[in-house]
Amino acid sequence: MKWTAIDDFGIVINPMIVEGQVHGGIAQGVGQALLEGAVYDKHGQLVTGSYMDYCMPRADNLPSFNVDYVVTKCPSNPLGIKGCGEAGAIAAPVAVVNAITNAVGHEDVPMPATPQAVWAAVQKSAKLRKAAE
Amino acid sequence: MASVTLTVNGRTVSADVDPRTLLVQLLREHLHLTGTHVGCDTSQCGACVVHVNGRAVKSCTLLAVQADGAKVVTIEGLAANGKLHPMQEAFRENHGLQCGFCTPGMIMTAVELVNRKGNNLDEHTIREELEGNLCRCTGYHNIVKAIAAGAKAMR
Repeated sequence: MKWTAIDDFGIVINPMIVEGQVHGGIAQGVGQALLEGAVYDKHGQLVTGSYMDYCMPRADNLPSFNVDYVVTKCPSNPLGIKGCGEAGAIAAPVAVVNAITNAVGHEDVPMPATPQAVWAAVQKSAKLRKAAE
Repeated sequence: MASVTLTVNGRTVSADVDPRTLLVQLLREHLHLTGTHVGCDTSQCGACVVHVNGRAVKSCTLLAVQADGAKVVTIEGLAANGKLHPMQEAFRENHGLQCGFCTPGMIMTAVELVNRKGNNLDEHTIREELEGNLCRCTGYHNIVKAIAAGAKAMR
């Protein structure tokens, strides 16, 4: 799999740090899209309170990332810089879930799109196709 | 109380501990080697990885008494003569950490991985072998790069 992310962070002072922030953001976004879910029972008790139950992305859930940027100086601060910490986490869930909705043919896909959720979405596509025939 | 004697970073240490004391508690609370971290207490995160007789072990999973007589190496024992271990140097060079909480465990896992699988590690192998180490900051990208570089530098 190939993952490419491009953004505009204004003037980049330390590219190594900025790229690192984007890598981490993408991983969090993928986690949100596919794995990480805060689940409460009907009494309001959090049942995903430890890593036994809450699925953080592992290294083998992710590819390496190809990160690049364009530079448009930010006019509202003297350094011309923009935020980069959350950038990856904004686009990543959208990209992943768009890929899934595109594949299944409808938009009823919850996050996290666990294997069970994707299976249910595929079943729904089959039903929709049948109803249309 | 139970008596344990083990070698930690080349030094022989003895302690009288409550039998339920975990190895990580012995290291952090009795020996004050706080470089070994506790991230989850449920053996998921890998921040507490140390070497026990040369094998990478999650020290929150082992009782201190089980390590009686063992040779333990922690992150504090890697650097020698005031110089960082090549794997530590590779993490620094490749920006393999951000907050640094997972780093001790990552480095201990990585060093044992190299000892076990050699100096030429491909990305797939490194990612599979990191299954037991969680990182919230880096997205693993630079950790994987750092381990590949560190593995070569350990030759």
